[in-house]
Amino acid sequence: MARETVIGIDLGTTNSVVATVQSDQPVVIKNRLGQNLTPSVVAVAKSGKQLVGQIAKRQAVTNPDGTIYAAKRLIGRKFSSERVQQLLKTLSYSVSCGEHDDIRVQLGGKMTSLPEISAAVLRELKLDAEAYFGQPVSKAVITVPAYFNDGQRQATKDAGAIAGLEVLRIINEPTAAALAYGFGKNVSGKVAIFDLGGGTFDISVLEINKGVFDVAAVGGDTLLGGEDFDNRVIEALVFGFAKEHGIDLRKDRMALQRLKDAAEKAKIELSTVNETQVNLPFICTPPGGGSALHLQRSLTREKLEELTEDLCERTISICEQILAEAKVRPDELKEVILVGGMTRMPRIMAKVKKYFRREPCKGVHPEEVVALGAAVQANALTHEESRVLLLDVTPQSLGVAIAGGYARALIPKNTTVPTSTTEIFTTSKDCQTTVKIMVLQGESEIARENELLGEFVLSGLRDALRGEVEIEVTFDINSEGIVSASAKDKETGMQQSITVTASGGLTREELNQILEDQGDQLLDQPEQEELAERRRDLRDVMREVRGLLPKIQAAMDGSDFGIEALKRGEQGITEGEKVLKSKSISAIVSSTDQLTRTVNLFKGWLQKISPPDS
Amino acid sequence: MAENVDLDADRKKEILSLERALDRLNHFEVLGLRPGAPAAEVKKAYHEASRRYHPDRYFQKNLGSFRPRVERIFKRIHESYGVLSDPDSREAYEREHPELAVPAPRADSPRTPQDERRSAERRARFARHPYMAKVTKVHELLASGKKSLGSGDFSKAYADLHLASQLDPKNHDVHELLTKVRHRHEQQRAAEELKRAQTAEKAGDMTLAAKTYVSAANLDRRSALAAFKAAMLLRQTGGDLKEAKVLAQRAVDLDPKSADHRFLLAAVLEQVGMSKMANRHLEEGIKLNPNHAEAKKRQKKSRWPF
Repeated sequence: MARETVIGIDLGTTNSVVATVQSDQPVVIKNRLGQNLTPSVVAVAKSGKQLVGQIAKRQAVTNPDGTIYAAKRLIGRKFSSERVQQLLKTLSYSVSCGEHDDIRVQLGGKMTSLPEISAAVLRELKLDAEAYFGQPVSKAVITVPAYFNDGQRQATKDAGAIAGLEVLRIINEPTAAALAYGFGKNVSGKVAIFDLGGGTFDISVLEINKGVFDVAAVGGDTLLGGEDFDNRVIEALVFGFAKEHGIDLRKDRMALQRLKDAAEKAKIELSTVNETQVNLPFICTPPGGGSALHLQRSLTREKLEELTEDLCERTISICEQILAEAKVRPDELKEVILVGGMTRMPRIMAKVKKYFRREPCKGVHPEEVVALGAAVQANALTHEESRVLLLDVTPQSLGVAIAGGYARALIPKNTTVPTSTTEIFTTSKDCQTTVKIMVLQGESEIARENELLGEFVLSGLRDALRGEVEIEVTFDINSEGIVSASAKDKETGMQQSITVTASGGLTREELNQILEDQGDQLLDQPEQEELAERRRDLRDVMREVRGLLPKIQAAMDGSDFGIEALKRGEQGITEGEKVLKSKSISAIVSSTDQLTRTVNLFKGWLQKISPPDS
Repeated sequence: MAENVDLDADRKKEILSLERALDRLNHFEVLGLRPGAPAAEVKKAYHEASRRYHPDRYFQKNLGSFRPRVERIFKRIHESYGVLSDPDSREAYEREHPELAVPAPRADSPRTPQDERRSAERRARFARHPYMAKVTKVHELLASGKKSLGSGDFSKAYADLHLASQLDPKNHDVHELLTKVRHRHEQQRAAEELKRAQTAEKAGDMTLAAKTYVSAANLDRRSALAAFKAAMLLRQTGGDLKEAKVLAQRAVDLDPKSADHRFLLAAVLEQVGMSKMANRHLEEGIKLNPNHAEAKKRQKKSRWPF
């Protein structure tokens, strides 16, 4: 049996990468433009055509409000949350609130959910993989930042489903990096993964033991990444321009988009050179008329470091906290692995080196390692002979709300899954006959500061003084990461339970609707072009046969010679007509082949019977 | 057992019997360990067991009723590991089950000669690996260094640790211990040299005595006696006066209350032509010991006569 083709996808904030494992080696699949990185940008051009990746990024400057970038920063979040509100100020496309506090973006005149945006990127990567393998690919492991909550993970899963992918598992990016680092090597020991990407910062500590990857602790900040560094540069540029000309460039979407590109470019350049120029000619025209203004400024590495010092510092303070949780001292680590393009910044490297007191590992490619690790996990799950086993952990604590508005964690964060735990609770009032079990996710001791994943009621308790009725609450997380909670009255044995499904912003019905609406279209789209081409081929050859038929008839001159071939030709044409209406490429191709043979046969005859006229 | 799943018969039997036994087993037995196994073994056994029973090992397979069984087994393995790997919970567990707290005598799990041979072979193989060889060597040297340190043999401890630090310059433990040992070692050597010097002085071999006093003073820079004696003998035997001056100065710095030290320093300074300084020390010395006849004489001599 042929090996099942599975892929690993790093769905990044700025760039995405797809990889697979081939002959026991994880490799990056180049996209159809020949690049390893596909920008996570989706756009709808003026013509109404959807663009994804490099082409979408290229036209972003001229189409700022029809181009969606950094969708990952919004996916699975609530519109009303403070962080989203803060983010909105820096986005050049328009964002609105969906029906249940989810986020919708305006794309090509349609309100689109974020899983749909991410799905467009995933679909593109899926097509790249299919082009690479020459066969359909449907199974994938997708990575998310370690600190993504259940809602964000579910939204990413939904995106996979919309893109027509069966998401085998969602794994954490730093974990994936460790898998890629440790795969095929006989390493043992603790490693730390420092992952500063386009939008998120993650730090993880893993213990590797002969193919077993045991996650000790994960953590990070979902809103700390390269984009924040870019924004600091933009702010500096905008502020300087405002001081000089009194114009706020951020109000102009196109200018903002150009600033964004220039800031990112300058930041990247400053990782290798000490000084660079930002040159944006004709950035805007003064409101009172007059000639267009240009933005010209030099930027030094020192200035960039000054602008972003607090961001660099924040990464280290998060490291301290996570290492303390894992009960690991920096000098106990065997290796520190840097992941994400932002770790190329010299200031970050220096900080990491100082804190961990060692040179970070240089053997891995910071932008590709995550996708490679996802591919390793996809391979490990589907191929028995793989020696890799990942012992993944829960990213956040799970608990219940208790009297007084507090939260009590039942499964603390960083617990290896699958896991289950049971704890006895009691009633808090006299004659309390019902209890409400609210399943919470988060680290706060205050119930309402955590995310509510689901709730249910256990009723019919006996009338008793408070504290007398004992209720046994069990939490269970299976290996797929699905949480179920149950509560049992210990006396009567009465039981209630729920399976918690986090919402990624789309309800089940909405997701089904999207799948239905796009379903046919989605599956067709990749083939559409090929189908049209094959049909054209068939039509061409049919036209040729039709042209030849009378000539053959004339050449036969009423004799029976070749009557069968003539009939076959006619049959071929009727068949061709039928096949043209279908969507089956294989039928069209076989029909075309057959007719081509007939044409060749006819041509041979004509040459023999009546030599070409001179 | 008759269920048609993607597992062979042995595996099914193994899973069924282990699942049935789970409630009877203690945390050590779940992980296949002897009671009281150390933390490192617990972790290793946990990883080994996960490799066999983690549900991801059976991903996408038709396990039927065996899936919940495997999940139950893994959860229990994880629970046992959780209890035994956390020092606090392990202590509580062992207090509850005192019979598990002490490591079972070896007789409980007799090691066959074959096992012994195998583990010796494994150790030897490990030791041959360049990295492991280095680590093992450093470890051995560190241990033997500590032992020598304990028994007071500082010179051996110093030699071992010095070699260890050459092999692994980044090893923090070695480095720290080495600084300590170096200090102790030098003190010890200084004491020995001092003794040798005193014997030589008694025997009348002043040149040798001067040389050994100097080396004792160099080894232990806090010994006023060595410095004083070294300076005195250097001066007497006509040795390097500059060195004598440095040593005499050190003797004074270490013990400023000694008149003899002052007088010696004054004499040496006088000899090298620094009479102003010499006079100052002479006066200080006389303040400390006014009845020193020779000093008085010298003081008089040094004063300008009217």
